[in-house]
Amino acid sequence: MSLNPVRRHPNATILFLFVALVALMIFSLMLGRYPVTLREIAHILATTSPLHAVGNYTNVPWVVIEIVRLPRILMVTLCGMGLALAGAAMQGIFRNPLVGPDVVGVSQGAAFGGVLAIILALSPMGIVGMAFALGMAGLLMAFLLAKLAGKASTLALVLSGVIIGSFFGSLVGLAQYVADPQTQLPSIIYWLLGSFAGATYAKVAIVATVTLVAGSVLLLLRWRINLFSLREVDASALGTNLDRLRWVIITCVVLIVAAQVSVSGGVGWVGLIIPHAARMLLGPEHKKLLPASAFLGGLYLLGMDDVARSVGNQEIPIGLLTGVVGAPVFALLFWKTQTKGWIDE
Amino acid sequence: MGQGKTISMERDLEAMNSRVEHGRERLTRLAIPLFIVLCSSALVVALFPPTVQPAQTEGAVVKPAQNAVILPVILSAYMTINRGTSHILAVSNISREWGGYGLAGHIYPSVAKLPIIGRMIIPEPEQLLRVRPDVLITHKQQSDVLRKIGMQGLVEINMMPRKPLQTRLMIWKQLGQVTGNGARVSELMRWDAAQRQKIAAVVAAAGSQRPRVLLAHVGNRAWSVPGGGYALGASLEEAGAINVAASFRLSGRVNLEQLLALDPEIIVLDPNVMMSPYASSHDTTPLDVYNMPECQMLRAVKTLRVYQLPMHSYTNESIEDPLLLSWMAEIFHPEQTPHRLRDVYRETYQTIYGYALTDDEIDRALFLSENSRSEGYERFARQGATP
Repeated sequence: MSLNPVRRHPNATILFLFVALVALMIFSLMLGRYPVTLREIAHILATTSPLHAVGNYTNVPWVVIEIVRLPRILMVTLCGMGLALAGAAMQGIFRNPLVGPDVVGVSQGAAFGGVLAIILALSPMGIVGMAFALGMAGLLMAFLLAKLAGKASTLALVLSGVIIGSFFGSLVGLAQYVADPQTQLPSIIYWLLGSFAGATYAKVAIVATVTLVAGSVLLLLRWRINLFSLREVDASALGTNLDRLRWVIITCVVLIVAAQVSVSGGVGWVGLIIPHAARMLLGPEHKKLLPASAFLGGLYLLGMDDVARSVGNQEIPIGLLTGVVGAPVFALLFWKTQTKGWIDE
Repeated sequence: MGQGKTISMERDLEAMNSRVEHGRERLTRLAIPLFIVLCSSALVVALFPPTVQPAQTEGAVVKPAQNAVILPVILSAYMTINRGTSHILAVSNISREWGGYGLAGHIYPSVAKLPIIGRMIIPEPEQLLRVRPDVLITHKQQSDVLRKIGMQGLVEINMMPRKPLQTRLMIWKQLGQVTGNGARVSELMRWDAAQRQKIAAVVAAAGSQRPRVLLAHVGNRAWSVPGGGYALGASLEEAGAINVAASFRLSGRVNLEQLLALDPEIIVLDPNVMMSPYASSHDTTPLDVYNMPECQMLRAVKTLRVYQLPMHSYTNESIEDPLLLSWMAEIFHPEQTPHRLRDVYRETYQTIYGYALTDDEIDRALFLSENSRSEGYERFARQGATP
């Protein structure tokens, strides 16, 4: 079987994706509602390091680049990388291309946490903290329910995730119902639709820490994810405890998803379609699939956010955009991969 | 010899392939450092972030606004205090929509032409930096990003849904300071208190006779009832009625069975679709309710005591509340109140806005035709006319 050039040079492809991501991050600094010239951007980037810099309000281009756009671009990139990485890992361990990173009830738990924090009028960091805590609570409940069922299997966890997700989904509905329609409901709806408009460096720190730790663990374990395609007995013969490995990976995925939802609300489809696209590019081998998914995820979400914040007079919630674009793209990828088999066996 | 050479060449080829494979493997491993470098760089910048020294201390509005941007739904109050839409640079879409409702929007039609900035109540930093308002009014919960960019003239509104009266008072004081009309706010507050005293006298004269009243929104035959925090629920009590839904903690739908159990003597329909997120915008009038077969068992329908609340805007309660209270007092205690609500409307708008309301405008504000079949509503008709 002859491979296409991209598959013949997977490492060059991964390197290219990384370079493209960094290039898009720089290009994204030029996009926005406030007009900042390329020269001004180059001057700001060349003359001032963002570390501990203190600017003046009157220097608007500096404020726009360093305080408004840079944290947003960093946050979007990290979230895109994390979500895609989480999606690829989940699809690998579940051996199912229709699984997304939010399957274990974490997204819904985090969404409820965020909504509850808005109703309780907590500070923006309070919203992040509450969303993260309830996202983790969602995972814990799903784990406990799966244990109660007496089986620590993947299927039991997925079913528990569906139950816990539905429960938190209903609580989100209830919270919307009791929210004050003038003050809280618009904030809740906007938050649930997903947006990076409220990006701050404090939020970047949260996402960066989680993505760095959990993402690195996933990347280090990437070749082991291939073992999930073996039978349990064969994997054990190779000295790998698949059960323990599965929980480690799921915990990393959950941390990434909870961190993303807590800082930006619901942003769907990234963890579902990006691993498919990466698989089409480089094949099913997780050693290459995971890093490719990460960089491709960053590229995709950053591109979407650029469109969301610059295409019209009003910003489009990115969750809407990823949903509208994600569904047809997923359908196309699904059709393409189905003609060949999803993992190209 | 030849065979040995072939074997040697094969070995060389294998070694070369192995080196290439090893090189590729190293490149794959490079992906992890790249990932770590990217995440770590973001983390370092986030841990030692750049900051902005504001040109002016945040929140300190020292002179009246010349170019204000208003994001929360407080435009009608701002227009009342500021006597119009002057010095407003832009508003959020939701603020303009609700600011244009009611008589204040009618008196100041320029509200419909105010430029829009931001969707709903969410601030967009770059747009705001572009227009550079000298005063930016926003929700306290939404101000984090704006403080970080050192936005000057930031005025944070803290909406407390469970404390509507406190919230209103605080907003009016803040707006008085922002517009440089503190004296006008004090005057409006005094006027408000005086009107409320008159209502209190009517209620005291009525003694223990307090009708059981339900405040509701009806849309598409679905009834929504506000919860305990809704300000107009408290107004029912202030106007000498018993709010039959006072114990409802949450706003929401009620079915016919619940309506029968509540058994109100009077039903007041509020066209406020924001009363419940699930309320429909298709308003139902008392005339519609009288024609609903399923409602014929209700006491208020049998006695034709279903009324549509007069037109009013939101967060403009210091003007609207006394008018609504006067209207309620006349509906709940007709024998205790003089037949002069139309004059109260005229005087109020003349005093506060310097605007002479026409008879047609008063008819419209009181929903005369929609309430035409309701018991005793002819008292609000212009002299010599039948509603």
